[in-house]
Amino acid sequence: MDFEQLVKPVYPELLRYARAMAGSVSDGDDLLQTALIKGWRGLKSLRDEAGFKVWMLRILRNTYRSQKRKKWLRNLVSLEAVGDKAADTSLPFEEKEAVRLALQGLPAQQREAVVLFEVLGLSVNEVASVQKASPSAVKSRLSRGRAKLRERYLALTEEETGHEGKIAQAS
Amino acid sequence: MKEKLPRQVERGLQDLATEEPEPFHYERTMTRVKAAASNSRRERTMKTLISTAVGFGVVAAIFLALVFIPATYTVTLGSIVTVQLPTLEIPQDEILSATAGIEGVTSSTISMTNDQLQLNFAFNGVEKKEAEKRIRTAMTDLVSDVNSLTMTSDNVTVEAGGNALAALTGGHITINARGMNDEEIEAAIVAELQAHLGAGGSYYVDVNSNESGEMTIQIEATAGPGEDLPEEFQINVEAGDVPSNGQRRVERRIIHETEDE
Repeated sequence: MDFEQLVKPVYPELLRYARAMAGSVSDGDDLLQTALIKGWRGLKSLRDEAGFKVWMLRILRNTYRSQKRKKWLRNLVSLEAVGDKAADTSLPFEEKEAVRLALQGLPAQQREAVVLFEVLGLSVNEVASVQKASPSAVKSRLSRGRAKLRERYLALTEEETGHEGKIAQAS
Repeated sequence: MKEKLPRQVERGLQDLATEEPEPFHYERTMTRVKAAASNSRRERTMKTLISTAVGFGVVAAIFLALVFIPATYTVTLGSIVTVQLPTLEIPQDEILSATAGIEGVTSSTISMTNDQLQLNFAFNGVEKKEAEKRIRTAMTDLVSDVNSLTMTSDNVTVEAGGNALAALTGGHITINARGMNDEEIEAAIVAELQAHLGAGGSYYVDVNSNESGEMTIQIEATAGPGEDLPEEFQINVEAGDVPSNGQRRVERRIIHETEDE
């Protein structure tokens, strides 16, 4: 199995997932790169080429979780990280970025379900396969996730129009 | 299940869903992935003892495994070059044919924006200056003054661990020790180690020949803390001509090995 041949067709989708989950373009790019390295090294464990996308999404998911844990630990001891985050979110408030930011306010599983379903266009069953959950659990996450996304987005846009700089605090 | 979303959110999600990678994003990422994936993460100290009979003339291969601390090198893996030409100045098919054979190009695209024709080239293993030079050479027959071509270029770099660097550079060092005595061989090995070990590294080299002409080369090398070094590289000591009867004896013995995660 040639890793590159498997990656190329699904690369844009993996990138969208990574960026949406990570909350920014640069973090998403780093996340994808790390996950691809893991995928490359672990390719032998892939049983069926047809399942490559789901397999790779699971690696991305685990990598994201692992990075998030590490980041959380770093933030415990690094005040600089708070400054970085605030700087990150001072980007122009475009719809795409606003949605990306609003997604960050969702609990991880809901966010992932929304990204996989709404952004990557996966079916409920496919999302269930990536999340290793039942379809009904996915439906519930999607429903709650969409409600929360709406709420977050409205809150963010109100803050944005009301007072510059609040987005950073809200995130 | 469908919670009604504000139009802006729907549009934002739609934008995310149709977001395409920037030009050469895939190539850049995969270049870095390939370099990093070949980087094994073992960390260990190994001491190697080589005993060989120089009386018969041998090529002794010494494998050194150095303490690898995952610090980084910036290694240039390739480059991206963009060339801009006024549209209609040169037919596209002529450009394509002229640039098709540029050595080191892994992918190229042509795009048109307003009155400009933009050519993008991704090079593997070629730094930006050299890449620009190759493009200019390829376009000599198409453009009256190739030096006036508008080019922007960028190296594709990767932060690589020390052993990735070894993989990239081959990690081979050859010392021609023909005609050298023990001290000279020792000095040559030390010089190579000094060149590859950082200021904080340490080494021990001992070269000794006994009365029957058997030479023992002992090398121990350790990287300094935080230094980026090849985890493994190879020193060939060419100690003499291989005899006509082809006899040679190379003995390699690992006398100590520890994992140092």
